[in-house]
Amino acid sequence: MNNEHEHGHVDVEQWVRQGLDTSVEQLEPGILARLQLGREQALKALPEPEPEPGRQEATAAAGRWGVFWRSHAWMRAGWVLVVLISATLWLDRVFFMSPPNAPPVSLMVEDMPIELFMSREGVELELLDNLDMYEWLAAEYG
Amino acid sequence: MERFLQSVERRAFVTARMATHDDEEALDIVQDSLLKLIKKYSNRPEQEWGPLFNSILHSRINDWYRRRMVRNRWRVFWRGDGDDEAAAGPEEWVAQTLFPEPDQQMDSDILGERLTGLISQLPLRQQQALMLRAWEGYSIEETADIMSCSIGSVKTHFARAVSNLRAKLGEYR
Repeated sequence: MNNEHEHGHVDVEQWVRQGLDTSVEQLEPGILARLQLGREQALKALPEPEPEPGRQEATAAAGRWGVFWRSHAWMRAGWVLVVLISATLWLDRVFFMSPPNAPPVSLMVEDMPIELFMSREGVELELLDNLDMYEWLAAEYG
Repeated sequence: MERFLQSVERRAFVTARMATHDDEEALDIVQDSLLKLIKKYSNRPEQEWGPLFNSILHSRINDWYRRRMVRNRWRVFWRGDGDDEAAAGPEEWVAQTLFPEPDQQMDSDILGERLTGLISQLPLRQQQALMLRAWEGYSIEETADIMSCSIGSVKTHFARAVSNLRAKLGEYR
């Protein structure tokens, strides 16, 4: 009895499979064309592929920063002010001020070893010859 | 994705047409199901697409039945020409009058037409259980997931479908 029941199930299942496969094969051309059209329209709704995880995080961070930047006017003004002050200080230092902590020329000459002093360009030998006299003058009247 | 859609759309149409008995309604149901699959689940692994698509399809068919039942009830309410068919639940509702008589079906030499006619006369849930199990090849558990019902219900619907179908076949043998 049970075998007969199982056998009946198998028969019906096979018949269902065969019959439905046949009905799929026999679909009318008009229906097939509309199914194809429907598929093409549905595929247009396919979402864009998601960016790679790293790029996605970078994009998200950039987006967050952009929102923050746009929503804080005071911050924009602050940034502009900082940039202007930095530029002014830099220009002033480069073009208008002598380098700080630069030793005076006289000190440099006195402290310099004689060989090094002699090796410099533009040293007048006459000045070297009369060095004693200049030292005396400096001690007397300086 | 396109290959998958191509592989399921015809079977889906046959399933929907047997349930609705209407080509236009069946095409709409298939189109809606394809769209929902693409919009919501295209990022899921490919092996999940089949069960997901069938869940959507059968859910759409159930919705169609419910809407139809509500329409029928309103019609009965206003016109007062109700009958047992309109009062029955969607699972038991069978529009046999939309189909040719069984002897006419048997005159046909085409197996597909004959069979779809017979399956169409089964209640909706029996149709679904039969097609998912016997045609789509899903297990009882998968069928239960797709039909959103218990394993016991699937077994019952399937057994009744097979029994009904055998009875109908017996009538013509």
